[in-house]
Amino acid sequence: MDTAVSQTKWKTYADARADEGIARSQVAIGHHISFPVPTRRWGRPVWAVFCAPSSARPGVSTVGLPDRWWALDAATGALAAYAFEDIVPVLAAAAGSVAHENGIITLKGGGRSLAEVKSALARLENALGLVSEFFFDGRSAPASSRAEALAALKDTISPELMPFYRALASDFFAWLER
Amino acid sequence: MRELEMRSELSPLSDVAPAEARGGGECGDFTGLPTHALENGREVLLAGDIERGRKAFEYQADNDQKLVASGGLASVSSLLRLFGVEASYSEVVAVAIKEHLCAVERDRDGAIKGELSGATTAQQRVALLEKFGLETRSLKVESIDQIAEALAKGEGVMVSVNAATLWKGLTPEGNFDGYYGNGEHNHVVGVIAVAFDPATREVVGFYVNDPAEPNGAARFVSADLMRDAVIGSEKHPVSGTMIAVSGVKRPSC
Repeated sequence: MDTAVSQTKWKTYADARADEGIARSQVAIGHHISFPVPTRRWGRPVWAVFCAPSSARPGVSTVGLPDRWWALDAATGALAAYAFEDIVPVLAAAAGSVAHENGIITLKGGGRSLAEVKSALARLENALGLVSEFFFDGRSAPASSRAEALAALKDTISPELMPFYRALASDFFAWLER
Repeated sequence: MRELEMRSELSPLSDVAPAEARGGGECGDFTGLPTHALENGREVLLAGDIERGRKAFEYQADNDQKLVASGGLASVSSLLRLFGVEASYSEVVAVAIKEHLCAVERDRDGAIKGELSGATTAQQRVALLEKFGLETRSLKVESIDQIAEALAKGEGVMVSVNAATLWKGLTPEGNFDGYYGNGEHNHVVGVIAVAFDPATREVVGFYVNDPAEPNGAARFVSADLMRDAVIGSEKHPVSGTMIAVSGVKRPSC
């Protein structure tokens, strides 16, 4: 099982971004939408995303606690689940480990230019491409690939929001770190 | 909401008649467009009325309900003002909250968290504009020429953009992590005028009402920056949408 390559052609990170339009159409412009992350927490391999109200103006960026999440089937790209957090809580436990004031999280920013932010996103896409098929197949990936994926996630995701990613795809992070 | 008063059936953005009225209707009809000097002295042809647009500007946090994440609602209010609909920004916000046409975050006591409230989908903004009596159309922006064409026809325009891209140059380098997000559109601005090169007829840039800042009225944005902020690239798509208002709905017989 651990070495078997499945016949499934799994959707990539870029596919997941392209396929999430139906879910995203429900979200107000300005809400924070997370990067898709792989998970098998529900049995079926999916790309999972969370969403939170947010506000941005030059110099200030704040995010609320996540209000919804969705999952795209990693085999087909179909919307497999979409739920508000108060109806189907998936991320609530993470809120306790996030610094917030009345549910408002202030993102401090990583001190990077726009070009550097785009570069980090490209690195994340490449790094997840190294490991997502292995993860969805239930196989081990080379340690160097897992390390790069973890490093790219830490480099791209605001530290204030990392607990939500870990709560959403705890199995993926555990797989990367084992 | 108090009864709406309409100043006119159709109030085009520009003092120049809409292109249809001039026998045109296409972006390529430049007859009668006035010349205008950009800040750098470059002379351009202008479609749209910068000063009128500037007067219609709304700062997104300047509403009685203290909503902050409300660039879309501020842009709706600006368009209503441009088309002669008598409704204050706070009235627009009140209607949006009452009719569930914007996101509203509340604390445990039920009080609105203004910092995180006010965001809208394109459908919600269209619904609001139509509720206040305006004729609208919305589309995904594939080319900035679509924005230019709408303005040249005398339509009022708002577009969704990636904020970090639009604010490039406004914000100190090194502060982009939070509002670039995943690169998609995450902010809404009004577009009040378009500048064309007199010789080539190509779009030089746009004048934008950016509600994110108190001094965001009538800011010039180059064509390249607008393209990056609304459309993006194949590698970094923004998927921006445009809502264009053509006028006030005529009462049905």
